[in-house]
Amino acid sequence: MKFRAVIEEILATALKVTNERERLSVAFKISGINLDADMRITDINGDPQKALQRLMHNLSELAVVKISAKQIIRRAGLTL
Amino acid sequence: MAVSYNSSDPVEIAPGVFHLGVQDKPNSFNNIPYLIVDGDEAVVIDPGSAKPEFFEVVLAKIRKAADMRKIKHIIVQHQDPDLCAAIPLIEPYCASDVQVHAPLEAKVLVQHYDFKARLHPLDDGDALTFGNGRVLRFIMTPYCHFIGSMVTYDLKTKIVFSSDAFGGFTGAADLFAGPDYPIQLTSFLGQYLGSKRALEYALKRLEQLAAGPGIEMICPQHGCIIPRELIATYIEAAHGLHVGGEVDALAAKHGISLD
Repeated sequence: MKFRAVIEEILATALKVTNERERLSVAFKISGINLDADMRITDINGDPQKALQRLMHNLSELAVVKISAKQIIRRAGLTL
Repeated sequence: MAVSYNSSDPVEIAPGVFHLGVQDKPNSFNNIPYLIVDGDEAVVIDPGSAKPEFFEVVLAKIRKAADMRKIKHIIVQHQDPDLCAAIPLIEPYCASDVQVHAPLEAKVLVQHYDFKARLHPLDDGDALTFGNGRVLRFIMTPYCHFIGSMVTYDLKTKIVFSSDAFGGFTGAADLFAGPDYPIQLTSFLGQYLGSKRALEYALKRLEQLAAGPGIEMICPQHGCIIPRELIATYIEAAHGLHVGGEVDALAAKHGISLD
């Protein structure tokens, strides 16, 4: 459950630091995290921890989102 | 509704002080040089990037705001390329005796941008005085985020040009800090600053300024302008920041104890 909450927080922060919604949506989708048209998480394919690991890899092209996400992951006490 | 800036017009944020911001939409890392024009003199603060899509915007905005031959001084508040790379490009349009000013510790790096102008080193408390007596005071903010980092205080308008301090990640071209700015600011500063002690020192210098002569605006080189009524809120938020955490994260990942 903690991993899903962290993914939710990463998404909420991402929407505040970038306007690149399409690229963001693609990064989440290829990580196995599906978003609806309002950029809300609908479902996560498989283990949320693995999805978070994939997401961090796929966010590299959206540097400010990944930088922000690192802070969120650390604050949650997670080590990936 | 938020006030935005565009890619063609400078925004006069105080009499003779112009915001020359360039939106970096794909990277959400907007780049904001400033121009001060007073009488026959002008100063550019943190002129910006050498990439044409940035520099050409800045050049066009300066041309709309002032005769570029009035530019006698270029101030760079640390050595990073997003604020220094434009120095050799802007230099040919400026006064023939234009000078570049940089913090002492940054000077040794700024020289590598390969411009012809004299490079003048700055230390804490140094000032640049216009011919008409207007004073820009330089306040060193070491390790925030580089040993040779500073902010510039304009005594006339009471504006602090803060460089990376109080910057934020922003995809939009909003001129002033809005409801999302606390997250945008903490996401940036929390990761880019390494020393809580250095941050506290910088914040206390700004608090001294706010309590003394006063601060009307904080104008960072990324993100949004923080107006007077929000300055205390943002200084308070910055006091609460945990910085340098990336070291802890990587130490944990690699089983390294730092205690």
